[in-house]
Amino acid sequence: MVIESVCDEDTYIWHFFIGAPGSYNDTNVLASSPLMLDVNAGVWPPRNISYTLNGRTRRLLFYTADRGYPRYALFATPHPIPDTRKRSVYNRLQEPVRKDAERLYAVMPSRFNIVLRPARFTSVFRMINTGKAAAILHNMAIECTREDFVAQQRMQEQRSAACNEAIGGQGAFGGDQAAFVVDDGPSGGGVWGFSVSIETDGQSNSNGHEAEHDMAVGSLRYTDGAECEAKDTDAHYALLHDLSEHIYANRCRLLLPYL
Amino acid sequence: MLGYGEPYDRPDEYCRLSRSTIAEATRRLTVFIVNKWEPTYLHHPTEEELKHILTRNAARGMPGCIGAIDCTHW
Repeated sequence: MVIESVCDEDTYIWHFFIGAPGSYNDTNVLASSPLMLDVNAGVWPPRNISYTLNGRTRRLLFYTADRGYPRYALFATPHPIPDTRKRSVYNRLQEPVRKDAERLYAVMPSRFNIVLRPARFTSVFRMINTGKAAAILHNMAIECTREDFVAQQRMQEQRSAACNEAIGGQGAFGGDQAAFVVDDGPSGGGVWGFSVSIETDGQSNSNGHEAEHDMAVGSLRYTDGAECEAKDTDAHYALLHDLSEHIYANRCRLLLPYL
Repeated sequence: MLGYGEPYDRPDEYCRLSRSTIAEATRRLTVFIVNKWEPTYLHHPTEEELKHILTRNAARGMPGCIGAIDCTHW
């Protein structure tokens, strides 16, 4: 049986999929994962948040993943051959971020030893239920102890420092605030202008605009565009490029001694 | 049971319950937990939570990252 999970820095589980047969691996479990079904349907990730990487504004949020994942724009995988300094700096930062998911598989069994002994159950349904129950209890435990984590405390300090600075009238804390921008709402149906412009290449501009306007969330064209955008290989490489440039620009001095 | 991964007939001595009772109780507990708390604790991040995750990951140097994905085998 395969467990697929998404978690954040506190190993809080944001997505937990259990129940795929054990012959699946990282790549082809995506075909049956509810997360990927949502991505295919364009429901997830939300498109109203934009962030800037290397001067380019992007809408598609991404997950960090390891080498076993396909080259989708949704995944930021490490560079296979980190031959330049930028790439190795990127890999150096990507590894600790990706490590959270690995850490989950050590933290959860140490909390709930039952997940090391799945054969204790007599039916597959029970197995799935127990896995989910362990994940839920794990999330509860994380939520209770979250305030004590070092990362959270550090963030609180940063936030209070930012507040003090803002009170003092210095707008120096602009970096993290401008890390992403949330739109007020989906602006009509035209959130997916990019994919439509590819599909309706031959049409005139006015037609393309109408098509954009008609494209509602959940329509076939929207879904198709969403899937194409999330699974675009070129966009994946562009994302990796922009990420490594961004990280090299911001974290180079911090990370170079640890390469 | 869940915490230590014991077999069903291990805690019967100090619980004073039979093996089948413990098995049934465990089953009901897991079903209850999943039914009651799955919408609360295993859901897609809401807008607020997503902002929080994005802020933290941006502070770590990865803007736009909403988590780490991985698979394991049971």
